Amino acid sequence: MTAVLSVENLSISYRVPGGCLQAVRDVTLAVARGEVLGIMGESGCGKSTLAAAMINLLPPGAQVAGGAVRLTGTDMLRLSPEDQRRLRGRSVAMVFQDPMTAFNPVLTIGRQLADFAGAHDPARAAPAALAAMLGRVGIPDPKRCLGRYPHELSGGMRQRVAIAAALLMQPDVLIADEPTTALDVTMEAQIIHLLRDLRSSFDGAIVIVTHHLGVIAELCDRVAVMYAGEVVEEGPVDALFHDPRHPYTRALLACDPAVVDPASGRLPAIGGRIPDLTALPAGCAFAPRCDRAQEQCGAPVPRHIPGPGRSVLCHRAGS
Amino acid sequence: MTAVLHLRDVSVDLPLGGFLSRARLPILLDISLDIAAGESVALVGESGSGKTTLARAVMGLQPVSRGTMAVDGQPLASAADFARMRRQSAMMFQDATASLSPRLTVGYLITEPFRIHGQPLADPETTARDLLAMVGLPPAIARRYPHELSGGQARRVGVARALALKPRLLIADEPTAGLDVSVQAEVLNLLSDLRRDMGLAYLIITHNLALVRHVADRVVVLYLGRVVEQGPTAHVFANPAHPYTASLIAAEPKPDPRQRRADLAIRGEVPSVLRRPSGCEFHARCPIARDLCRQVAPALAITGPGRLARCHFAVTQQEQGEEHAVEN
Repeated sequence: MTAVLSVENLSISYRVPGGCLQAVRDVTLAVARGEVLGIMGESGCGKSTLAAAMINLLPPGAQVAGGAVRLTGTDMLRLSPEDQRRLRGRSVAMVFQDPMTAFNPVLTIGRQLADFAGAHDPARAAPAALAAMLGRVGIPDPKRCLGRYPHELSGGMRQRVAIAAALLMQPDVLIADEPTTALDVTMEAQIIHLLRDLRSSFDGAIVIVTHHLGVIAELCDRVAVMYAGEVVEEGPVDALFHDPRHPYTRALLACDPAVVDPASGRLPAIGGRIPDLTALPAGCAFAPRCDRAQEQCGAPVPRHIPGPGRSVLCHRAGS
Repeated sequence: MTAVLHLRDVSVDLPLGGFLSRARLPILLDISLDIAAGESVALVGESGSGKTTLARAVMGLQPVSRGTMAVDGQPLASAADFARMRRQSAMMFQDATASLSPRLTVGYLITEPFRIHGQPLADPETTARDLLAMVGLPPAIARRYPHELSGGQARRVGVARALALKPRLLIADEPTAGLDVSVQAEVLNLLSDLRRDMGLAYLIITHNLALVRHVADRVVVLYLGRVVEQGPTAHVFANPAHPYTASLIAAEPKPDPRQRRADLAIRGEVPSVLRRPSGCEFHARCPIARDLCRQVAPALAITGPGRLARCHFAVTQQEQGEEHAVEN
């Protein structure tokens, strides 16, 4: 399988008062057509910055300190702004967390989808083409939906429309940042189902960024776990959930209220805080919170390859 | 023992708009609920089920159209009753950071309830330090402003402020929304500790079923403003009596790729309260609906010890333990 999107040794930092915040540190990832990659981690781990870099929508102040984001071989970060805009939407599209703020409240859904599609290819902006796409994402009565305003739709329906908008140009990569976080559990199940169905009909790669372990388990083929800007563990979803090798992955899986037996009384928590990203240690960033940390963890961490498609950033992964 | 919170047939209507129109739209219908001291009850349901409206009604933020409410046996009817009630109970809001005024320090914010309710506050600094210690925050936090706090810290400050006047009842609206799993665990542990140490009664509003399993003794499931099922949490999760409850439990994503669901447990959306379906209001989304369900609305009936469900074909539980007395 050849990668449609690959991130190579990417490092991104933000200039902040008093230093330089390292949001993404030496991340290497790839996703192939037909594959769903999950990027999992807690707030502040750099997953959203990484997602923004994948679609080249980094906020002002972010600096690419090194590395590349290659979309079918082209380094997106080195393109001119016009070329970037052409690629965005057509080759790589994004679904955001909040389906309300993704739309302009004073324009109809049909108008917004037409503007979006028309900017790339006027033929796809025809109402019939737009309605067909809305039908594909499970909107009942798609023709009527085109005439509606965003506030007239429920959260789940708006998220479906957002997915339809992202798929209009048949992108090579669809990136979804917390696509179900703002939804009820019933809508979340339906959106998971929709994204899973799309895999068979959509000839591209899907990247799901979330802190929700359940969404990752339901949807992804491969998972990258991020901590303090680094991918600390990567592997097939089953291996990662059933045979986690990094202490952080283990701790994260153990403290999910959804897996802990309610009769046990107390929930395990990960003590301590995420490290200050402006003053990172030379060694393992998780060591201060790790129950297996030893003296050697203060030294730069080697990447272990415990099996095909797996990697672990931990001194003790081999032991 | 008198219940800390007692609700009997509480209903809320909203005016349907239109100048001179007297039409009212029912939002909550005949909610009856008792919460004892030290007991934790969760209200669950999808958006639009009326969970937040019920919490607002209890706090006096939403006028009640019919029914009676009481806190510690004292009725809640007049504005003075609610003012008294707000001293005895506290609310944790969903967006913890937004619920804290950005221009005030944490120390001032958590002692604000004393000022609002005209309670004596001899030594604000010591009081603030004690409250922060109760929720596991260092005293230095008192000098910080809300924007300097992390999500978990803001949530703890919200709890500290809620506890300032030593309430009997804590109403928590989505207490873990937007928190990372590791922080969720901390907040849930804090809530259980406080319940044990202070005998607090909780009314928790959430759609996070994992949270319900961990902190609620009893669960009340709302659908379109009506109670469709209630009972002891462990029993309801093990054997849901109402198909809606069963669908909600089945819809929850399991953090295990080996337990992926092949089929959707529940389709469609909550209908609008403007167009309530005939008969059982869940029939259009129900996997076991029959003709009877489309025509006749079911009543809330006993299905087992301490358990109620509003369904013609509710699963009844005879064999379960007798330790939970039937209500009413």
